[in-house]
Amino acid sequence: MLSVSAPIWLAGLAVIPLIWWLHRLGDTDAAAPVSAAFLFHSQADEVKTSHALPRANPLWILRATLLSLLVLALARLTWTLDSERHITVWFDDSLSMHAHEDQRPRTAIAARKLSAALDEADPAKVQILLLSDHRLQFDASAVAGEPRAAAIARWTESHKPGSPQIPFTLPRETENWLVSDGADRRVNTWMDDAVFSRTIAVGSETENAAITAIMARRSLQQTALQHGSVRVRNLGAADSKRSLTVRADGQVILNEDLEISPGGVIYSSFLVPADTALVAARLLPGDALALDDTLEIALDGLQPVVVDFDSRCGSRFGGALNANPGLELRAGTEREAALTVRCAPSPEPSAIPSISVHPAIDYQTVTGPVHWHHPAPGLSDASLDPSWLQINPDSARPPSDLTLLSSPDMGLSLIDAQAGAIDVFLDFEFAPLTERLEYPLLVNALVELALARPVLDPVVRATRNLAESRIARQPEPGIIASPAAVAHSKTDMTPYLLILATLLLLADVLISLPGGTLRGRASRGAA
Amino acid sequence: MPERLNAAAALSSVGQADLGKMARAAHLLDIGQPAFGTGLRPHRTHSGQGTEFLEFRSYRPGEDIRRLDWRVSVRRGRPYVRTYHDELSADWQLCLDRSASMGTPDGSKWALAVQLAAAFAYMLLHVGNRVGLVKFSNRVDDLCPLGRGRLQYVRIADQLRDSEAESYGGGSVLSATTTVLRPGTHLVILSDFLQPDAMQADLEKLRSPGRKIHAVQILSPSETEVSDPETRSVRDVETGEQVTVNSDASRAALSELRRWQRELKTFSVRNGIRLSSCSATDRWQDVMLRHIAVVTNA
Repeated sequence: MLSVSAPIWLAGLAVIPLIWWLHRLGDTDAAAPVSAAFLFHSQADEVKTSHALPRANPLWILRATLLSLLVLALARLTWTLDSERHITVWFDDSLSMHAHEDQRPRTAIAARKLSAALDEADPAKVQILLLSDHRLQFDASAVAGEPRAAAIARWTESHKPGSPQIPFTLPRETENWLVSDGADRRVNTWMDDAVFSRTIAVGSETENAAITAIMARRSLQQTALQHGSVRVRNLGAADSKRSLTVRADGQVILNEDLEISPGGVIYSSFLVPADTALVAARLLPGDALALDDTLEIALDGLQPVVVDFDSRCGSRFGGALNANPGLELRAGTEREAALTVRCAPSPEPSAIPSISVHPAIDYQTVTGPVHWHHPAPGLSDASLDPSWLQINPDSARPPSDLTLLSSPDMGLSLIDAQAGAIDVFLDFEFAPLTERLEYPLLVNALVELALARPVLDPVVRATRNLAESRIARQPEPGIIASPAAVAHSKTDMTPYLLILATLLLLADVLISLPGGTLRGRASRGAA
Repeated sequence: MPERLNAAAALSSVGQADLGKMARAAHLLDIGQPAFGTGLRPHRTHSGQGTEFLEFRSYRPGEDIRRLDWRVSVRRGRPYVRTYHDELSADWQLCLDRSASMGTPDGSKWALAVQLAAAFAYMLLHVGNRVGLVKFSNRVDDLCPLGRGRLQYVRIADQLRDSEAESYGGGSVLSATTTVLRPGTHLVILSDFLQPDAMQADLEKLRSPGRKIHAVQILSPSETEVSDPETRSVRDVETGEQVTVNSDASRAALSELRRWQRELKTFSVRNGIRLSSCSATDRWQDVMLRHIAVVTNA
């Protein structure tokens, strides 16, 4: 459909009759004026007796068209594709949208409201995108009414809740709708900034308490037990009375009644045997959002790390490893081990993290200062004196990007690190080194570096984003109350009109050039 | 593009000295005898009356009844009027055609017409006549009433100075002037006479016993030319009539113009009209002398 943005300019079309009239006056070159046309009667082919003004120069049509194009360009003629109405629906699938109200999740309620709105709008194409992952799209154009609501509900519930990913821009060629419960602060901010043609809001429930974290570590007092903690938070607006149950491998180890004030947090501690594999916490009775009432944690990370230890490494090195409570030394158990410690050349690289010590017959004393290159836990704190160290000169390599420890005076790498593999060229059985307090610290730091995790005091935890468990609506931005104008697919015709006007102007110039052949034709046409 | 001549510029070239010289030959124009007194200026004894009795003759319809001689008419039983050898003082009307055909693009045709009108006015006033000016097209466009003396010349010159021919249309209808012409008023017609009948019908209407008619036909050299060889049609500036022509149009039109001029001349001779022709490029003095020659040879 054609429309104009500045219709006042259309008044300029009233000049067209004036152009026609002026071209009648300017037609003097079409017929030569004479004082006595009757003198030519004897040689005349045709005589037209007329007291009226001559016919207008046909060029008036070209110039009137030119003027019309300019007027339409000034009026900003626009081509609007009303029939091709496309809608992109941004569907909030955050955790709060899975809260149940009236025995149904908010996603189902939102799907029903969305479908009704789409039936009313009757667009040609509808594309629904999940806010957590914009690659997940659903074409809702094929069906309408109740089947469409059911299809949208099934599709949204088939995906796990996710954190909203706010896009930088909205597509301009389609209308943009938003379906949300408004509980997420980022979505709310987005609503305030972005231009939505329509916003569909769902959700009225506000009360929700959630287990937001569960953590465990080895007990410092009793090595046979693990010490754990559960964090419960009330995200509603009223006091919440809930019962917290914690199970360790299915056995109830804690049952506690909680009374949490709005916005309050309660930590509950528990002890479980060291060999416990799984701890699960649950709040009862269930509230609107059941998904955040349970949380589980696997305690595998707290079990001692099995180390395949090469007995040729020496007693001092082995003693330092054995002193670490997080390690369990076994010889010849590479399949079960998480770390391999070797002290002899091996033809095959290890498939698991490893520490390889390169022994020598004649060690060389380190003379210059040593320098730590790689910031590893504990390594930078291990101040090593050169007098404690001696190296294997045969296997020591020049310092590289992967060097952990080097001596600038010698130009050699003392310890190298690669992905999960550490090569040690120091003599780890050298008495001045092994007798230092820094020695077990150095050994433990190398083990944690090879495993890429702490082993001395590991902590396992499972947490949940606090904001995701909020189901109450955030303060509404103004955009909800005043939806933006519908964004149709519009094409501004001004550039095309100006191009066409330029071409007509060029044609006019060519025709009007003195002596131009086109002028002659035009003149004869006028005659 | 050459500058177009206008009436004011044309009148500025009609100098007092030239007019004075031309006035000495005024009596040759058959416009009356100047009565010289002590000076060079003509002396008028009675307005509108001749001084030298000629004869009695029968009254003709249209003549001024004041010329009736009642005594002779009663004695002879028919109306008789007194005639004189010549009239010292008469009424003359200058009829100036200002139709579009008089307005050539260079303005020369209208300029010469204005100069001739001024010269005739001066000469007629010089011998003591009352002179008026009528500018006509298809109607009377402007009128300067009859008057006498130097002040009348100034009035006529002022009217001529501000005048110009029609730019389009108009037509040349000489008979339109009959509404403002008094009986017995003599005429000087300045026109191109470019009408299919050469204004013969109108001249017939204006003819009356005792009325002298002087006519000067002014034609432009470009009157019958079609300058642009690409032109395939001509349009009459007065009537708007458009004629599609062939390649020999100019030559044929010239031939037609000569035939048409011969007819007009024959008509004039037959009806006692003093007609002379001139070109728009001629000097007004030459035109006047040529007209005097026509009158004296008639």
